[in-house]
Amino acid sequence: MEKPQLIKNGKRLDGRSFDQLRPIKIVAGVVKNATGSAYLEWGANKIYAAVYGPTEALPKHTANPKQAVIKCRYSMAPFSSLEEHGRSGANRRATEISKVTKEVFENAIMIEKFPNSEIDIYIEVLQSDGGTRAAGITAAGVALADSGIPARDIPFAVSAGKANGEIILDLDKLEDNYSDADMPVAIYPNLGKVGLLQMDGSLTKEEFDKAIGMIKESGREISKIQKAAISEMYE
Amino acid sequence: MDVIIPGEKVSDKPERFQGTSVSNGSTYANVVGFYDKDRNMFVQLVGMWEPREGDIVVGQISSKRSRACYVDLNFPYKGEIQLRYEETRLSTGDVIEAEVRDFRKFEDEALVSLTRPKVLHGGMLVAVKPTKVPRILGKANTMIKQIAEGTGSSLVVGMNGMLWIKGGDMNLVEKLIREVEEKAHTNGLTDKIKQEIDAYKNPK
Repeated sequence: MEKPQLIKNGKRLDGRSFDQLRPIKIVAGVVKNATGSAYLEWGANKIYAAVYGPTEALPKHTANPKQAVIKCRYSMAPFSSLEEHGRSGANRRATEISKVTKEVFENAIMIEKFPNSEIDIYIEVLQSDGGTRAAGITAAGVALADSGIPARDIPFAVSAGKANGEIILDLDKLEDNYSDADMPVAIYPNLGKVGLLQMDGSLTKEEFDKAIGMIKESGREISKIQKAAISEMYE
Repeated sequence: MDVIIPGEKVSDKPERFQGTSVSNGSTYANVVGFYDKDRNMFVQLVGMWEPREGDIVVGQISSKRSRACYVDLNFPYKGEIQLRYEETRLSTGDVIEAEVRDFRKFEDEALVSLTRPKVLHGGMLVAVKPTKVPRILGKANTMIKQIAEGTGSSLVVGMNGMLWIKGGDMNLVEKLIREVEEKAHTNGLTDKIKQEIDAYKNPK
């Protein structure tokens, strides 16, 4: 397929401005069996996240006597996408996303409080439209808050990128596939630290700074939605 | 009520509230909760049980060795009863009530050391969120007494979030407990539960 024109008349294909997020909706506490859970709709993305634990680490050789072990499973439902992403189960891409998500939450959860135990994080993508790893981390953040496992901060994640020479925020699937750069970033808003930074393509230093600025700015909005989802449970 | 989520500031001063930690002289939340100005404390809305000496727990014996019994407490770590100190006969599968002696974290394992076990025969077990246990007990145990007297059941509430119920209408007790658990943060809950018990006693 030929590369489509991603920006027309200063607007993106779906009519958003460059620094505009897709609509986000989060509901917490949707999986009753889980310690904590959340359901997220981010544009056309539909994601469930659930947190279990801490429980005894099994098999026992995985246990760490100094801290809890985080196990994360990111997976896409076979019907989540029309294209190659819709492969279910463990594959190279899912394994990578599981690993980076695990590392984001290792730094958010106070793992040193629970030696020899394990905390499981499940992220299941029901429908995908680009930026699912960022959306998955945002959903799992709400699930973590709901679980009551002590955490230093609730991370959010969003991607920024470059298309037709413009820096754009929150890429959808089409933009993701045909953009010049795509950079998902996870941030701990209160600690002011970065938990994940990946990039496809290339950006100059100025473009990178602009993209990070956009992500930080949008983070206020995302964090507010995350907090609202938690507050809603106690009204 | 202003809900505070993990990472948000609770106080500008370093305070020793449960479910918070101090960094750079300020107190930050580690779990979801809210700040109660009148009592100057952080109230946890979710969270985990932190074993303390003297806590009553309810659990099931999962394995037995010659010197000790291990108890499943619905907690990341097992409870341990050293048999040489106890006279009660215990066997695998027994549901017990016991008191926490201490919570020890060793280099290679952590255990909740238990003492004074009492076997609970029959009945059923219900697991609730440990943070809701104080509300289920009520101030000076008013809530739990009301439920026990109203329904004619015997109840043992473990601080670990396990409840043992026997006798009376156990399904009703479970329903009431679940209601308290769900609406723990609302006002006038004791009266509401009282009304439901009255309605059960005198059906129209």
